[in-house]
Amino acid sequence: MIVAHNLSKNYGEHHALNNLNLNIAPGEIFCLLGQNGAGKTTTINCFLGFTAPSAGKAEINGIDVASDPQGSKRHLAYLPEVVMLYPKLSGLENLDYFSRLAGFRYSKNQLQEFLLKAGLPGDSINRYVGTYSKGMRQKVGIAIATAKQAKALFLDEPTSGLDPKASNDFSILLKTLAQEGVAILMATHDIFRAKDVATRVGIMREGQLVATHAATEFSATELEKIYLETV
Amino acid sequence: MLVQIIQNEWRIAWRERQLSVLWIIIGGLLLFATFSGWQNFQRIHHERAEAAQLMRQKWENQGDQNPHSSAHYGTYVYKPVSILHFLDPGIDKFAGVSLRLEGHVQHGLAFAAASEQSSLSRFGDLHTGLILQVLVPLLLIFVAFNSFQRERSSGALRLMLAQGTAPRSLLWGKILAVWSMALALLLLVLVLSGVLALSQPQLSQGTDVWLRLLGLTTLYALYYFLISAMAVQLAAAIRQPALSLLSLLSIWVLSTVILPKVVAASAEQQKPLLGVMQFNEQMHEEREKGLNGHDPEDARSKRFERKILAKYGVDDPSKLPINYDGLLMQEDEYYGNAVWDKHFGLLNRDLRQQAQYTAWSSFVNPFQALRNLSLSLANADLYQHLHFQKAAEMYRRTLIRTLNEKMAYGGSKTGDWDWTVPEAWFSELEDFNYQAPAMAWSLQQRTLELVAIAAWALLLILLLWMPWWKAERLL
Amino acid sequence: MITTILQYELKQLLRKRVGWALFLFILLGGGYAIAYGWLNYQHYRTQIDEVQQKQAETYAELAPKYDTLTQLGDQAPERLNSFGDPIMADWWYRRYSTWLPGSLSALAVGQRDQQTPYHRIQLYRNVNLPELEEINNPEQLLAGNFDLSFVLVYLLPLLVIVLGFNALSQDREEGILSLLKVQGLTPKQLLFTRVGLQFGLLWGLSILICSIGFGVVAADWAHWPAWVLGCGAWLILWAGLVAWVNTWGRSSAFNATVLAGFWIVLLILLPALTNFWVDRTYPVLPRSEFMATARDISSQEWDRPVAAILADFQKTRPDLYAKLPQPLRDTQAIKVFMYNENSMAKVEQLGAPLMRTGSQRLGLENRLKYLNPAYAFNAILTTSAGTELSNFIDWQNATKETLKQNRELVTQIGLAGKTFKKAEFERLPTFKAPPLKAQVGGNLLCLGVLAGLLWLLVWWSAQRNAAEV
Repeated sequence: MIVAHNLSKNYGEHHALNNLNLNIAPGEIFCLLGQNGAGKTTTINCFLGFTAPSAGKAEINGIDVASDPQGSKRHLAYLPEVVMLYPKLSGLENLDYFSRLAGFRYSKNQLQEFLLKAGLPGDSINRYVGTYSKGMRQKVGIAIATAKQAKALFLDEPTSGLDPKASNDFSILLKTLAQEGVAILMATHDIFRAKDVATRVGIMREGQLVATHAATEFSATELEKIYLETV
Repeated sequence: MLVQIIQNEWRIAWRERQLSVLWIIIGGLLLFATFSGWQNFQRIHHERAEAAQLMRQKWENQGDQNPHSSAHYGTYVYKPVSILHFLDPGIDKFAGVSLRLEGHVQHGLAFAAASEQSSLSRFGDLHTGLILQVLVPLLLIFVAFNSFQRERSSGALRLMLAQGTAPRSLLWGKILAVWSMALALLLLVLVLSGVLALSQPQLSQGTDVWLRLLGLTTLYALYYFLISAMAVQLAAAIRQPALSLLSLLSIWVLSTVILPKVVAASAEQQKPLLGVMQFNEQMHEEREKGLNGHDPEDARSKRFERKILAKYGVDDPSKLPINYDGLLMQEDEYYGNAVWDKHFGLLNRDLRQQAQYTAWSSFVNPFQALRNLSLSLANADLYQHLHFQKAAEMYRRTLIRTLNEKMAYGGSKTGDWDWTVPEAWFSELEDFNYQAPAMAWSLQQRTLELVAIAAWALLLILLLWMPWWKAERLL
Repeated sequence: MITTILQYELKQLLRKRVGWALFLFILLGGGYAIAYGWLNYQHYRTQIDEVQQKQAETYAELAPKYDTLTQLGDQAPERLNSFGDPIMADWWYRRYSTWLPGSLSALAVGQRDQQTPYHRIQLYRNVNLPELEEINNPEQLLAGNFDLSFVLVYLLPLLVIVLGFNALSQDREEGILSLLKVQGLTPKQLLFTRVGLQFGLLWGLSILICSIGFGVVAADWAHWPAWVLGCGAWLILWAGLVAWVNTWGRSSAFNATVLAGFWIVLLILLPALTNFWVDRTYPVLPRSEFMATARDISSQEWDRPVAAILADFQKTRPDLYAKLPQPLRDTQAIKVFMYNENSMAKVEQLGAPLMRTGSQRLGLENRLKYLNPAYAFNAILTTSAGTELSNFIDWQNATKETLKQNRELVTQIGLAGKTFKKAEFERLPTFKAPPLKAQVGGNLLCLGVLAGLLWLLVWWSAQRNAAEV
């Protein structure tokens, strides 16, 4: 579902991404770990079509992102580190707007369902997003991603800044999505969360994927040790 | 500490390509406008001086003439253009420049250049005043609007405050830095203006021109301080740079473009002026029917005739040893002058009230104070215009009285309309030599604006000393 | 997709206080401008009406006298003699040509406030030497008028800037853009839809204000399309600038700075520079030399012997000379007419460059309008309101024509040695206003061409910066 063939991105002499090969199957959660500047966000940007690769190919559901950016976007959803939405629209309106842009038209009840399922409290659904906390915005972001019924989901530091309860809720939600057959690529610093949700964990360093492990191979502490040794 | 902050601000502004380019463009425009303004001033000055000379020549070469014919022939006087016209031409092109002087009737100043221009002229002319009043403040806004945002987002502000920089010192430093950038431009204009003025020593002699130039420089410097202080304080108070820029630009548009027009429009509505036809009609009527409406010209003439005949002890004007026509015409002049004094007095009162109305708005809008004071210091405002008009009318009165008295007492008899005076006598009559008012007089007319701009400066300094300028407000 | 964007953009705009504040600002500004223009026009109109009323009163006063002169002929009372004299008849019947732009001039004052709107129609009058100079406060003239044309020319672009400076940059800065892109929306679609919506709203608003203005001042609605299309073209131009700057992919603050710069350039610098160019190419000619020479011509001509005047008259007006009753008996009696014709011919020749300068200036300004679109838009408003210098020149030319007709009539009657009776009195020409020449097509084309070129640039820039846009 999410495939990278020798994917590279150079900025002059600097290799932001170097020959990345990756294949994430439906139902799989792949967590990318690495220091700042290791190439995690560049990888996601290449899949999202925000960055044109210098070499190699990024594919979503068999569609080459570079040659058909709009086509590939039909199959993916994205959750950034900080979800920013239109402050003068309610959570429900934001969801409706973003869904309609993606070509989905839901009834009010269906939209509410998505938001409730994402964990947004029922009484805040019709409040302006300008009054939401970061966690609440994150939940609307998840609702937007799920409402798009995408086969591939990209997450860039999604739990950064969330409280433990919200992070836990988020993990449960991700697992549910994976069970529904969504391929998930998540860039994170949170080794423990990665161990908790991931099917596989990849460690990046200086633009290269230097190690890939099945999450079940190690405990969280072992994973941390491996991470520190690798980076 | 202040010096370091100012140096740092200069360095940053200079390294920001857009700002340095803008600064150079505005500096270039200032030099260009000042230089071309100087050429324009010289052209207009020569034009009017030549026209005045031509009219004087015609006056002196009118030949042997009956004084009354000469009074009808009359002459024209021209409003001389102030040397500081090249910095701020003020109302010059909107006000009449020449005045026909003759017996029996007073005219208005005629032939304003703007009346022969299309509405393109209403967009404004490229002159130093326009750049100094409109564009330089804008440059200061562009420099100042994100003066805190840079340091906020980079974290440098936190560091600076942690280093022990007092928030108020930081504000002062930034204000002085922004201000000094404007002063540099002002210095450029001052030096060039000084050189240009010195190149025409006959026009720049006396201290008044130099005092006015100094006054203009001080005025603009003070205004730029207002802008710098306001812009930096707003930039400190508003966190989002786009919002701070929008707020500053809104203030700029409101004060520079919208309010002056709104105030002018309201002033006009408060005191609408009479149309020239109505105005002349009223004067004509009062001259005919008397100032009180019950003293017709005929009755006045008869009364005057009786008085003169009684004085000389004769029963008919033809028996008078003098020319009664000259006396009667002068008597009529006196009456006409009283009518003029009344009506022009009323008109001047209305015009002054309109000017006062706009002057009061300086307390709301310091730009109005700047504009009015700039006009006044450049000797190109309404008050100077009225001053000239009055001086020209006084000259007319003396001239016509001299002609009428020559007619009356020069040796001719009543009814002797063919009697002439040699040409040399006319050329001996003094020419009109207008003395423009001194700076003190000009500023006296603009007391309100002076108080207003000083009050604005005090207010902005006072705001800087307010207790709310603490570290947490800046961060 | 576009409908969705429009729907939600509109929803957000209506929920933003700044949107309502701007709407109120322009509505209040427009309302004030209309009210000011209307009061100003009423004041102006009253003055002109008084002049016209005086002329009507003079006619009513004189007509019975000419009835008497016609009925009684030589038996008419002596006190009426002066009314029969052609020169006196012309003098008694005070007629004026009046410049009376329609009520639309309340919305675009143009140069109306700077002109003396009346000129005496009389034998000796010359249009270059107006007898009266309108009373004005020059400081008020310097400040300019707060009329509707000011609101449309100056303030409307500001609204376009305020609404659109961050049309794309804000979403990028706030991080919404990446989410939107993932949903399949291209920034180009977002930008163009947003700018398009803002254009539509502002055009609608300007149509509303123009319509209110036209209604309030009871203007001729035939000019309404010109105003509405002019506003549309002007807004398209500004929307183009806003879109162009947004395609550069810079910050909102940068966009606001650049757009404010464009506003200064288009509304202050370029007009000032073209003004400078026009002033240097065709400076307003000083009238002093003309006045002095005209006066000298007049007095010198008068002082010449009648025979010399007659000889010149034969050259100046051979047509009139041929009609002179032969043999000429009393040349002294007709001297005044011949003198007048001779000196008028010379003075008119002398004044021709003065008349020409205005047209030359207008011609150059017209050619420079492609560098100065603000002038093109302003000219649509002022020429259709009849308050531009071109309209004034038309009025001056019509005045000149009336003066000429008047001179022909009085001179012909005078030279023939006839006196004025009712028929002659009725034939004394009164002024007929020239048809209004609105310059709409060329100026609209100018705005259209510039807007078209700009939008091509926008398209090119959007393609070039596809990564950002």
